[in-house]
Amino acid sequence: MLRVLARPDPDGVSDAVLVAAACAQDLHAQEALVRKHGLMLNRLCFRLLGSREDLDDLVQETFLRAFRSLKTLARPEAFRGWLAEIAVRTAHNLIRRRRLMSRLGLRTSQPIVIDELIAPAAPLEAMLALGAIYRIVETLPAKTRIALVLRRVEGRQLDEVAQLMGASLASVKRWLAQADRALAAERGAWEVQG
Amino acid sequence: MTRPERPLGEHMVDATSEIDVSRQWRRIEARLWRPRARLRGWLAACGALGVATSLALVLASRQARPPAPAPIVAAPVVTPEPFFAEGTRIESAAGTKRELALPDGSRIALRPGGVLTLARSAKDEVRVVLERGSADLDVLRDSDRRFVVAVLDVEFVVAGARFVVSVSEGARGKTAAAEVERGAIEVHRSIARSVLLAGESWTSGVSVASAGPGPTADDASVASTPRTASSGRATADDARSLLAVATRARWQGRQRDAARALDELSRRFPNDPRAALAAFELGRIQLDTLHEAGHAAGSFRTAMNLARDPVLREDAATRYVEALDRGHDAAACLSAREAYLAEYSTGAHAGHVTASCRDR
Repeated sequence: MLRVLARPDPDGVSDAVLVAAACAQDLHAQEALVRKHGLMLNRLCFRLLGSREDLDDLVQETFLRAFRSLKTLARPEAFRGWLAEIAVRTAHNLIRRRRLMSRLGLRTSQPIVIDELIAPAAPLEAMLALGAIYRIVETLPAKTRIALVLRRVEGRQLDEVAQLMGASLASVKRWLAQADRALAAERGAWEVQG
Repeated sequence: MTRPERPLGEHMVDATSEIDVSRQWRRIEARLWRPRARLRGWLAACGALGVATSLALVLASRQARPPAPAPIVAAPVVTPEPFFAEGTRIESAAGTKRELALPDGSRIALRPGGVLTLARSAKDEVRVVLERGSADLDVLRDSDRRFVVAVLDVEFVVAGARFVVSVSEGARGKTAAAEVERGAIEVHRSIARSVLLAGESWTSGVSVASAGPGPTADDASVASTPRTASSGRATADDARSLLAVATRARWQGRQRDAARALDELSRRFPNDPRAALAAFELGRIQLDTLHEAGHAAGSFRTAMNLARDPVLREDAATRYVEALDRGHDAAACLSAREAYLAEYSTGAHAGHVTASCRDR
């Protein structure tokens, strides 16, 4: 299909304005939101999944859920963070479903290829840390895995992790402690601090 | 926990680019259900094509002298046939297959001689009625939208799957059938429910014309047949088939049949990766549905022994304690509780397990 409509300039309009227009089913506003936050969302989803498998599906599903429930967003200017919350929830469901399908023999698990995740110019310490994390994520419960990625890979604060996961701070700390033990078993030299 | 100076994610590759985002937007747009916007897009596209054609004509006329160039006729744009309006009835002639694209990206290929109707097309439900012949459907996953294919008195409910449905006419009347290539579909017929998984096929068996009092709850199950089986009721000579039999039985409310299949799986195929899960699911049925705590404890114990997945092993250990508790086996319960807490002191279920095995 020939696209002749002018591409919106996503950086020139605030999220509040775009969200209001998107709520009114304005296709241009929805496209602008996708283009404005698409890279961030892809980055987050990629880190949660650890591969490109299902990445497109996850990103598309997240945006679709966001657009369908846009009217429930109390603060339109907080669209980016709200979108990330939806992505985390959707990723959690996807990870659990993939695990169940694998258990039932209805899906062949694709192992995470560490070399495809790490940038060539990454310092050695970062390479070792990322390698350890992504070697164990497939063995962790879904919530523990997500908490670990949000905290260590995304670098989110504990309260941010809790908000993104819709969980209490205590739960997040428990999951991270579980992840730490798994990392310690994996790497041996990982320092665990209470 | 030590927090690194920079997030580790900044040392990861960028998985996507603007081009990927553009592609994703096109798919999102297609699933947003915007027939008017598509129409605007088509009109705009036609308008732009007209402008481009006119411009080409003007340029050509400036460069060349009479005779005047022949008018440029745009080549026809070939796309899947649009299929928007509710109530649209589609027929495919003999020897011709018609391909239809739905706004949500799902596709239907109506085979030659087929007739179908789009009975309903809404954001929460799409309903297609196959009146004659066969159709190949590729339905995209959408948890907010119910996709139904009605064939005779059968409804095939789809969440996301690739499958073939057909209606055929024989000496005993019409028969509905389905075969799943990918995903899963639910088969609804009167009060009967069953699930078809990838690689499985189903036929109504009982003809509509000669139907008596109506199908029973087990009607669909008798006809459901994995590809490897040759008779009516599914044969199960491997772990996967047994698991499929158990899954179908659970969907149909036949818990004892499901338990038998799961028990057989875990006993005959202990080295199969599914054996531990089968034992775990068996324990759940025995404890939660059949209220057979003693048997359930044995099943969870088996699951613990077979499980290679540490998460499954921990879950099985939790339920093992619960089964012993509900079976009032105090000594065994206390022993299992101590063993659990020794290994999973900070596990997700530690609090629940700690509270188990109280003196009664």
